[in-house]
Amino acid sequence: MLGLGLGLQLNSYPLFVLDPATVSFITAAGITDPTQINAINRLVLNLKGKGNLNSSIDFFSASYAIYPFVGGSATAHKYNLRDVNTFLITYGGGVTHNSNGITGNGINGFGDTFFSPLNNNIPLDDLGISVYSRTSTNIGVELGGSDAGLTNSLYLQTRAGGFSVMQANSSTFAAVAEPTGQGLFVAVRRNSTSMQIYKNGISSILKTSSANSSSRTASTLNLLRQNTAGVGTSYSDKNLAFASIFTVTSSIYSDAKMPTYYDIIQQFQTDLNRQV
Amino acid sequence: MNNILVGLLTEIQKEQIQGKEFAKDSFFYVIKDANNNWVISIQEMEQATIPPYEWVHELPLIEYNPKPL
Repeated sequence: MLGLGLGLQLNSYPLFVLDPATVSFITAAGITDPTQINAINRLVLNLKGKGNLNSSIDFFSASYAIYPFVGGSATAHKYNLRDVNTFLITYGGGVTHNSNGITGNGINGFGDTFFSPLNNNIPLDDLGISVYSRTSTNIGVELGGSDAGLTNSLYLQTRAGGFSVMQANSSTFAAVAEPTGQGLFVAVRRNSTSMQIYKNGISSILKTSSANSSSRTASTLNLLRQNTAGVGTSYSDKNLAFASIFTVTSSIYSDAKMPTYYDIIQQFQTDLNRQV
Repeated sequence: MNNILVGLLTEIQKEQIQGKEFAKDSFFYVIKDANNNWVISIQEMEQATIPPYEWVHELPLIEYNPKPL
């Protein structure tokens, strides 16, 4: 019997007690596979600070959207683990859905999160986005929204032209050489004058010059492309196995906590046997 | 991008499918290439299962020539 906080027995296979967020998500997404359910539940508990990898920090509540891309279909992959009733993704064009998550085609495939930095009031100087990329291709934007001319942009490229690139409510960017584009990439802004990219929990660039915030775009953040004032550009062909949108909230997504955040996401991917 | 194939649509076909659901929770997104052709991806052509759009499986294929940025 599946229920709030109750243990789940399936064919005599003992499972963890399920967090309410897990129950909501698997119910909405139609997920019944025990391995996937256990992986999602461990992810939720760890993100909430109630798990084996994290017993104190509540990454979960500081998030607007958490996309685990579990279930293998567009229907399952549209749901937001943070709240299954908000920021559901609409997929357009040629996106491939399978057990490894979502994959763009570099031509016209994308997912619209309907999260607008301006209209959904993400703080100007206290925000972050993340994606977990499984492939080492070299084009596109993995999560992004912008005003015309790449002004007031919020986006993250794990690897394009050999660089990881970000903008965070800014009209200037931060870029660092990136050899593979594989792993967990996190782009954060913690103040008005700097931007930072992390790869697998380690800072790869902290830009403190020409890094001022400008304004927030009303454009919704799109997966697998840049949404530039309603026009799709920079289509990605990467395979993504996780994405999130959050407020940094100083003590939560702090520099010191980034390795823990990576460990949680990497454990999730390992539980699903799709880690890189 | 070399040797990437896409499906070629007429103007009328483009009007028929743009924004329509071709598989559960997946929607056609027709774009123009550098020669102003209306095209969709191989993925959309292969994944289209919702009637009456199965005819996209038979679209003629052309090499994808992306619009310059």
